[in-house]
Amino acid sequence: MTLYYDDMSVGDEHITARKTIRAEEVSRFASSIGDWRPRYIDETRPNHAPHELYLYSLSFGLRIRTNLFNESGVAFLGCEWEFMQNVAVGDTIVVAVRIESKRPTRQPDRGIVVQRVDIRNQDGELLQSGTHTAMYRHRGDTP
Amino acid sequence: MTTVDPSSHEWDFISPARTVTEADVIEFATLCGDWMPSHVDAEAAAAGIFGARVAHGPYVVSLAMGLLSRVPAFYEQFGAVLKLTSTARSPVYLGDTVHARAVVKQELADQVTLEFEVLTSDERLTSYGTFEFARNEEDRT
Repeated sequence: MTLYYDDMSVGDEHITARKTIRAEEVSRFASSIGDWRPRYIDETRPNHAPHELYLYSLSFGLRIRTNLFNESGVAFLGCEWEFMQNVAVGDTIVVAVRIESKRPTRQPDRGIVVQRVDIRNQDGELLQSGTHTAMYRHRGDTP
Repeated sequence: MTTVDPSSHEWDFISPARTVTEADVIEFATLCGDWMPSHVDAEAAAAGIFGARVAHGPYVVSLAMGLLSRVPAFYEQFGAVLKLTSTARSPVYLGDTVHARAVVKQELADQVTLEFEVLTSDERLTSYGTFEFARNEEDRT
């Protein structure tokens, strides 16, 4: 199912699939973006933590994997994000996406939607929360 | 297209550059699960609004942090990221060579807010925003 701009109602919430956090993926993420700061790559340090931007990035992927926005999304415009708590390797996370606000654009077939994205672990603890702003197509005459 | 005069600001951190390759974008899609055609399907992306495959938005933000972490003063000072904001201004295409730069906007006892920009080699602004970091006391040696 695709959600077009017209289909998104403020307050609606969509829950993604769950994903278990694996050490290999966390470590590969920090390496591939080139962030080799000790807190991310040296597991003997007391402040060692999975890279915060791995979980952030993963939430975008889980959001896309709902298949709600693949056909309707036009462009990512920006985000505001808060990092409350580190994820732990072995945690299983889930993302809740709530339509927070929407507004039309000058183009009659496109609108901008702000979504609230909450990332929680298996115990329901809020790890990260942010807003995701993007442009979407209208349903229009799409069959 | 937004271009930026590099002399218009003073920057505390200027990163090395990196060419964003197909391997980078596929790696990001693999790790994060975002296989949208605009990133991984060359034919669909050619017909889309950007005209070619582009890097994921959160990849560009992550890359900014990765590139800046290669600046020694940045590497040493900053620990956990507490907050970020980002605005996408223009896409990063496969083959674009990008660098990041940042300036301290606010310093508190235990946290620092930076403004950052990600630019192509011809000074096209692709993304900008803020990172709020905890100071990295434990890693200081």
